[in-house]
Formats: sequence, C-alpha cells, structure tokens
Amino acid sequence: MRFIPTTSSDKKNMMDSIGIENVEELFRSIPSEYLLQEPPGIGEAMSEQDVTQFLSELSKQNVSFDDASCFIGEIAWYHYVPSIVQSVTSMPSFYTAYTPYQPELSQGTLEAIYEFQSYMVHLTKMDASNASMYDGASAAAEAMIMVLAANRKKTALVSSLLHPYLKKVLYTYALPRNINLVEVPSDDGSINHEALQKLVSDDIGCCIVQSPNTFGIIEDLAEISSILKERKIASIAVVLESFSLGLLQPPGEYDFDVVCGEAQSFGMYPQFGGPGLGYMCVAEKYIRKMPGRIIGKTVDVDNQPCYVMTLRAREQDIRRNKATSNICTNNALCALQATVFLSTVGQKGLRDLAKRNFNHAHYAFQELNDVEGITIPYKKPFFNEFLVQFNKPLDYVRDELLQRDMLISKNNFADYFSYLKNSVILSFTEMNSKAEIDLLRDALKEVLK
Amino acid sequence: MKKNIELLYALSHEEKTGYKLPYTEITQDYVNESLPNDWVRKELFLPNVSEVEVARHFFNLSKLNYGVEDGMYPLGSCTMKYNPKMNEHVAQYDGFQKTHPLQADNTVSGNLFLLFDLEDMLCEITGMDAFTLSPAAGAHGEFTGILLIRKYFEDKGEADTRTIILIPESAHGTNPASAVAAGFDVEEIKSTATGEVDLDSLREKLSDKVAGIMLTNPNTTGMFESNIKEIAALLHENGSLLYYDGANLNAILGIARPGDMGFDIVHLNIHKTFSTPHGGGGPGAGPVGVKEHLISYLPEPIIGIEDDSIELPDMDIEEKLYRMNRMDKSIGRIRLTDSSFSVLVKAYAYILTLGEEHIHEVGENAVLNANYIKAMLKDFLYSPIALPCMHECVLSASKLENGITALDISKRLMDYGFHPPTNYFPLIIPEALMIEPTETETKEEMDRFITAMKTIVRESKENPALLKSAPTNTPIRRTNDTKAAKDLDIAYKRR
Repeated sequence: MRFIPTTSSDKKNMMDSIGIENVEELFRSIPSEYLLQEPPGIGEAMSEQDVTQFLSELSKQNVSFDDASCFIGEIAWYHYVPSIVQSVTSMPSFYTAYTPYQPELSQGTLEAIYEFQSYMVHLTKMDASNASMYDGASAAAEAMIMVLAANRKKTALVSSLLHPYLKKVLYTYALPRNINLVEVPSDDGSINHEALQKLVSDDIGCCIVQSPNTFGIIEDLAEISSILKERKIASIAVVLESFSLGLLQPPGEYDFDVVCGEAQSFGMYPQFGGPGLGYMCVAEKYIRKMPGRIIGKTVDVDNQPCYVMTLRAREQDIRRNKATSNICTNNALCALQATVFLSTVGQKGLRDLAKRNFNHAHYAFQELNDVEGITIPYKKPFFNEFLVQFNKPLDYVRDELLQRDMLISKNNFADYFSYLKNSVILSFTEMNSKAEIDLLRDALKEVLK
Repeated sequence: MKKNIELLYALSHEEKTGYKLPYTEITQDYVNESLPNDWVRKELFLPNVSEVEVARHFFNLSKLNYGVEDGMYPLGSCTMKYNPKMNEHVAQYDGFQKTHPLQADNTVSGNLFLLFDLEDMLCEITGMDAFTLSPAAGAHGEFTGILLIRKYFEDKGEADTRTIILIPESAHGTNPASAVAAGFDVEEIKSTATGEVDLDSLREKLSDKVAGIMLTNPNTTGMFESNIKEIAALLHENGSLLYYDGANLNAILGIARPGDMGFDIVHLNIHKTFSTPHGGGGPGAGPVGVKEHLISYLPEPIIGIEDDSIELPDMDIEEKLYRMNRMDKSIGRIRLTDSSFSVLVKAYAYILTLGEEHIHEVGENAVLNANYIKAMLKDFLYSPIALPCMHECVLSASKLENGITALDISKRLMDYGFHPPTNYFPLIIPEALMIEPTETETKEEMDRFITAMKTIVRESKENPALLKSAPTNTPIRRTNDTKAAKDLDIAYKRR
C-alpha cells in the first residue's frame, strides 16, 4: 500500500517493543462480534494510473464550461481564476497544515488570514471580519443567531427576495433555536419599503437583506438601513456575488451591523458547489460576539511582530455548550485562495472586473429585451444577472439551449414565486463574450418563435 | 529564512498590477446610464502589487508554516495523515471544477455518479444505510445529525419531551455546542479513568427525556468503548438514539463499523479519515450516515437513496440518469450549494486506491504506530492508561519536575523539528499530550520523535529553562496572547 511506509521488519520490531505477537492483540477491546470478517465492499484497490484515468473519464461525462457556455449564477459564479491562485494553494505547507493553534509553526497561515480579514473589512467597509465560514448561507444563519442572542430577541425579518436556498437554510437554523422568521414583502423586484416600515416593531431583533437580491437587483440599502436604524433594529446585509463589491457601494457605507455572504467568486471555480467561502464582517459592537476563528496581530517574547488566533474564549472548544456557535473547521484554504486572488487583481483589477461584469450583463439585457417570447419582469438596477420569463416551458427551453451548447439554471423561479411562470435567472460574467451572448440571443429567438 | 514578512499593503503602488482585463467586444459603458451615481463605489482599499510580489509574498509565508511534508504531525484527534498528491490532481480536472451546482441533472451525470458511488462506499465502510454528503465539516455534520434526531422525535410526537442529549465529559467541544445549536439541553456523563462511559452515571441520567447520546469511539483518550453493546442496548430500550462522532474512525477503518455497534447516526471527517488536506483549518467535509429509520429526514437534496429503480451502474454511465431528490420529511436545506464537491472527489480517489485489499491496513497501522510510541515513552512520561490504546495514545506531563507543563514539552518539540501533539485535551486527563502518528508515518520518523521526547524529559530535569524558553528555533517564539486580545488588531487599517 503506497501510502503506508511500514515494512514487515518494522512491524516485527514494533510488536516486539509493545510485547505482542500480532496486531490483532491490539484490537481485543473491540467485542469480537464487531470485527469484520470480510472487508467492506468497496471494490478492488486501484493504481494511481487507473484512478486518474477513471476519474478523467467520469469528469468528461459532465457538460463543463469548456463544453458549453455557462449562463448560471444565483449562488455560484464562473469567473476567471489567475494561474497564481492554484500555484499558491498547491504549496504543501499551506494546504497540508492544521488549524494554526501553534503560532510558532503557523505564521504563514496566520498572516495570510490576517490579510484576508483586512481585505474583507475594506471591501465591506466594516470594522472586523472573522477568518471565514463554510458558505454564504451558514454565514447569514450564524449572523442572525449572533445578533438575536446579543439583542435578546426571537424574531428576525427576512427579505422575501433572499435566494430561495439561502432562505431555506435560515429556516433550518432558526427552527431549533425557536427563532421566528417574518418575510418582508417585495414590490416590483425589490423590497417593499412601506411594508418594511409597517413590520418593524420592538419585537424584531434583526432584518436580513440580500443585495444584489435573488433577482440580481440592487436593493436601496441606504433607505432600508435608515428605516431599520430609526427603530434600532440590527441590520444584516448578505452579498452572495462578492464581485459586486468592486462596483457598488458596500453595505458598510450605510451603517449595516453585519455584512456576510459568499466569496467563491474570488479565485474559486464553481466546482459543482464547493467548497465555497463564507465570510462575516461586523460593526465594532459585535466583534466579541462573532462566531468562528479570528486572527490578531501581537508580538512574541522577543517583541517580534506576529499573528495568533485571538478572542478564543468565544469558541466551542473552550465554551462547549455555552458557545454561540459550534463551528470548528472553517474554509481557511478558500480564504487563502481569495486572498491571493484579491492581491493579484488588486484595487484596480477588482473595479475593472466588476464593471466588466456589469457591462456584459447589461449588453445581454439590451439584446434579450427585444427577443419575442422573452419578458423581463423587473427593470431596476442590477449587477450581473437578471430574471427572464419565457413564453414556452422552461424545461423545453433549457433542453433546446443544451443542444446548442448553452447551460442555464435548473431553478425555475415559478417554484418559489408562483406568479413567475417559466422564469429563470441568467447570469453574465467576464467569461461570457459578446459572441456567446449573441448566440444565446439568436438561439432564444429561434426556440421561442 | 525571512522571519518578518510585510503585508502586501506595504508594497502597494498605483502603477503596479498583477492583472490585465481580457479583450472584449462589448465596449459600451453602461454604468453611467444604468446605475444611480450614489450607488457607485467611491473608494476601495486593496493593495496594487505585481504578480511577482504576490508570488514571493505567499511563497515566503508558506515557509513559515509547518506542514505534513515537513515531518511528523502527531496531533491527536486530528488524523494528520499524508495527503496524496493524486487527490489534488483529480479534483482539479476541468470536467469537475468547471461545473455549476445549478446545472440540470442530465448535464452532470459524472458528478452525480461519483457522489452516488461515494455514498454507497461510505455505507459499506460504516455499516449505515444511507448518507448525505452535504455537511461542510465535522461540526456541521454534528448539527445535521442532531437535527435528524430532533425531527425523528417530532415525527413520533415526542419532540417536547425528548429534550436532552447525553455527552461524555471526555467529548470534543463541538459535541455539546452542536447539540445546543440543534435545540437540545446537554447533560454530561461521567467518564471512567480510561475515558470510557461510566455505566452507572449513564443509567442514572437515562430517562424519558433523553433523545440520544453522542459518542466518539474510540473515545478521546484513544480507548475503544468496550461496553458499547450494553450502552446501545440501554439507549435503544429507552427509545433514544446513538450518535457516532467519526473523528476517530481512522482507528477502526476496515476493521469494525459503527453501524454494526448500534449507532443510528454517524458523521465522518473526510479531512481526517479520508486523507483530504486540512488546508490550515479547512475546507473539510462532514458526511452524515443514518440507519433506515432516519432516511426520510435527511437534508435536501439527496441523490440515489436505496431504491429499486436505481442500480449501481458500471463504467458505462451514459444511459443512467441520476436525480436530485428531496426526502418527504427532510430537515430542510443546510447549506447554499449541495456539497463540498471537490473535497469529496479527493476522498473518492482515496477510497478507490485503498480498495478492499488495503482498507484494513489503515486501522491496523494507525493503531500499531500509536502503541509503539506509547510503549517507548511510557517509562518517561506518565501514562495514565495502562491498556493498549487505539490510534492515539494519551500521556501526561503531570509528573514532571520543575513545574514543567504539557505546553513546555510541546514548545520544546518544535526546536527538534516536530509539530507538537494535541495538548490539554482530553480535559479529563491533566497536562495531557495526545499523540496520533497515523498509519502514514515511518518508523524512522517515529524513532526520531521518541528520541526527541526522551531528550526533552531529560532536559526537564537537568535544564528546565530550555523548555520554559522554548521554542528558540522557530520563525517566532512564544506569543503574547493577552496583548492580542487586549490591543485588538485584526485588520490592517489605512495609515
């Protein structure tokens, strides 16, 4: 077995040192009825050559973005990943290392995560960031739990225009904590501000808003924040397409208490869903209540600057059942990926990329708007995706587009908003050329005729 | 080696960049006409640096880390085994990486086959009936598993009465934290001197309020719960469920299965047992396996639950169509996407490599190695448990002279080029040093570790200052953690 270096003479020597005749003696504490007589049925052992060939064939059974144009977003986006990102995350002492509990041997991870926290703080314009969460949904759920615990309230307002999957996760997390979720109605593709005004009351502990929302539309965060601030209700903004932070005023600019979401766009391919990268940034008053790991700067005994995991008393390994969150392992290597990505594109690159996404999506909007058989229900400022309705069944349109090497989402928004029959989100990034968009337009003209 | 590496912010200059936009034929600028000016970002504080500076920065940072390739990484409970290069390679195939979680099922048949087959293999390995691959990490798996328990009792109309999860005092901190997150009260059960469940304490705590118990087996002292059969019987007679924390599954991989021992729910730590890298703290994956009676509560979506209509296909999978389904009584969705897919690809490659021939060698060698280290060190450090251990051994610094602690030993080990073991855990053993060599460690490296440990014990008597001032041979030395928390600096500020 090529991952096990022990020779038979090593084995013999070790057994002699232990004082046993055979290895089975070490397993005597396991009741014999539980010892397997047959190995688990997992098939014959394969060589590396056979495994790589098999998996290569398997991967080719998929229709990948190399085979077809991808117009899917919603929860993950296809952006270019500069070569350097993979190069750095392939460095063994980054990817094989454990959580940096021993700072003397972990300054590489610690400093990189400190940089990640710094970038996220400045991107969101908040006071602090943690070292990462699993994904955008668990980050939002943990933010809700954190804020409600701090405010000793049990009810959260949630925008009805959160992505349906995000909303589902919030319900899953809320139920066992006895948290009530009250949905804020929408109007013409964005949050209905008057309805929000009516819903805010002293019982409400926080309000969770996604922007760009599930239709891709940018919410009026200034207005929403002022409605909430007036009643001293904590505000949580969720940003799933983090590229939007390169072009749009960040929620921190409008005094949001928490900004959290998904940063998969920063240097990670969609990878059929994961891992992505959750993040959580907070205003000062929540710093000591944040879940997850936090890296801080300090000095060592020689007064050398260095980095450590800090504010550890919040965490589960110390607080156990009193901890506000159970998170242990997070997505550190993904945070490193994002840090390398953001370092490489820099301030100017991220702005340019965000603008490029905006322009490509708006070109697509302009081209599709005139296609017969397409209705665009909401025409408000959006970032890089928007909702379209077809005059034919969505499954039919999707299959027809697949025949033409184009991928659109499997999510029919009619499943979540019954009045939006045959509707789907189309997403456009820097990866979608004008030619691709023109082909999509022409294909839809033909299919919807 | 460079010890202090400046942040990239310090190298920033507006003329520098590591990126150039690609060519596009869409040249119209829609921002002015389509976005209210108030909504356009005015300021963005990120560094501008060249690619070579990024490359050097992170390369130099990586040299300050200790990784599995640096040497023995005997962190108990963490299973720091070698991470095969092949795993990293296959996870990066374009056909995997460049697929979207919202693609229609008929365009991702390769992915769905892989996940379905992996579920099946995990069922075989653990003795469970079905798996969800969604949980993002061990603690996320625990949360999911306890939600399943909650749903199970809700379905039986006992949700209001079954409010307690029992947890041994030797358990990982995530166990009680996860049980509380899933809406339960936690009651601690006493442990015996070997860290096993104290049966009297268990009987005393059992009541019709108990929903279940969370057990790590082997437990956190590295001992197998020899009374597991009786524990399972007691719980099941009481109508309660058994939850298996898979953190220590490596010890019994291919040798015994939690499903056969009466566990109703199992979570696995893919990044421990199944060789995927720890990444400096993640990403991991924490699949959850269940027995038949809990399948209908699994989180959405689920692929290919045991069903006559789905047969395990051979290599020719084009004809098969896998479907993402939702179980009728599902606890709901637990994450944005469906799984940490690329982590699972690595685990799949690993299991294919082990195969039926080799899988038992993992547990055997992991246990042999741990017992070897224990045998060689038990006369030098206090060994609170005389019996053979499983995949990890717990020694204690409590009997050392001159006020030497487990922390001092750990720090001194760094000077000898080793990552220290887990210390101060499990909590039931004072000054604990928990050593897990894993099956991928060589005898030569373990012998060097043993020699280093013996030398350190001798130093603790002859020259304790060496330990108290350690480490001296690392990029930085002991840190001022009080200052870190007091003068909180957790993000670089614009100067």
